[in-house]
Amino acid sequence: MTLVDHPVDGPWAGSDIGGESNADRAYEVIRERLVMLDIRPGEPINDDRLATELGFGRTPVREAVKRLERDRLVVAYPRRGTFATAVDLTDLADISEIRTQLEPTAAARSARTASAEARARLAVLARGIAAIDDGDDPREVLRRDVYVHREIYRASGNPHLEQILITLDGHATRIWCLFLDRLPDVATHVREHVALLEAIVAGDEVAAAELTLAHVTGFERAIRALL
Amino acid sequence: MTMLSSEELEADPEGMSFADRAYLAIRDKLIMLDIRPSEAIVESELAAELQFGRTPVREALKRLEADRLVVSYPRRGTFATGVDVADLRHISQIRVNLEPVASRTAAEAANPGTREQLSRLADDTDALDVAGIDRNELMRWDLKVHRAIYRAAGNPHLEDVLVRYDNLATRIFCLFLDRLPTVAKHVGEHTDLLRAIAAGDGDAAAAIALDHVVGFEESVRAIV
Repeated sequence: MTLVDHPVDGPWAGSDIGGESNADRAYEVIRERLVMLDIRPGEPINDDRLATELGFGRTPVREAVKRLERDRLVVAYPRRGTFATAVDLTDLADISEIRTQLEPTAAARSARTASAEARARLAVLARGIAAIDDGDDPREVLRRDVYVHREIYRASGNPHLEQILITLDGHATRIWCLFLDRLPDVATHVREHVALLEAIVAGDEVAAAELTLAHVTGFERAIRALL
Repeated sequence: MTMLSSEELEADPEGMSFADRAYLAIRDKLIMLDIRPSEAIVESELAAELQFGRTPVREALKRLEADRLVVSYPRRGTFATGVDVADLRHISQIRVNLEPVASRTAAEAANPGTREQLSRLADDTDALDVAGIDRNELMRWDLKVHRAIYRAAGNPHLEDVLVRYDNLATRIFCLFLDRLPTVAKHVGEHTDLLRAIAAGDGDAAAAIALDHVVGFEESVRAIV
């Protein structure tokens, strides 16, 4: 049902329409570097150097950096330049405050409303996650973690929720990466998603919400235990 | 009573770039429906109208795209986003979760200076002539109250999200304002909410915030 006519087919198909622009691609690449700490917290961001290194023009890189500023992954100071944001304990608390609300909501919504195709995709994902070995490269394991989260957000069918949670998951993953050497059980943590994915596939929204909440609070506790 | 413009609502009006100013001006137009949902946006016309260069306007439109107030399609152009019932539900789902958290945290953690400020804002809200006030000024007031609460919660990530979703919700509010019978009640709820936060009553603040969001969604749904 439409309140106001759209001149075009979908309300906000956003990134799906007409493919990605160079600015979108630059954004994804630089974001990944910031999240995985290839660019360390506090490190200066040089648009020109990034453009050369990544093979993009300056304009898409500039646009991408502006977007990353709104995500709070970089910060620009007049006359001093642009830097990767610092990570501190306050961020962990602030991000957890939002994620404890929205992550269970997204998981429950996915369990309730996901399409048959989305459920099939999540079931395949669960099998892959179950096969993660303790000896696997922890950074690779984390990348798969990010991927699982994104698929769950997408299955929730609320594009707003998806966008917010992707941003926050970026911050959470950044904190993970910062402590990766001191967190022995990353594989165990990621394998927790098997039960969650199975709950979503089975349409059990209560279990999906509970498992997600335990996952988010468990993450915060694991990090705090190291401090 | 003097109303604040949207510029003054922002934390740091000094040191704003042209792009920041263009962003605020266009955002205001979108929320207050000077640019209607789904209306085409022509960069050059907007730049001429607002007397900004095209570069700051282009940058502002990119930001508004991230805010989901604007959508751009290759070869077809840029439009104000449409509004439909699914959006209302999606937006409410986020606000139902987060507005009570922000209000509770503000009630529990705000410093005495902030409480004093929220308390004054409650008095000023109480004194508003809701029936006589201009629609846009009322909406600006609404935005201002919500922003003051988000700021008081002291979580910048939460503030980012809630500001964005308050903008989207206020735009929907503007669309139906003439047909909503409950505007005075809606504004009155703000007074109670501000007072609960100022008094440090987290439970009451969370409950009022939840009612406020749910009530808004229900009153819009009742007329569409």
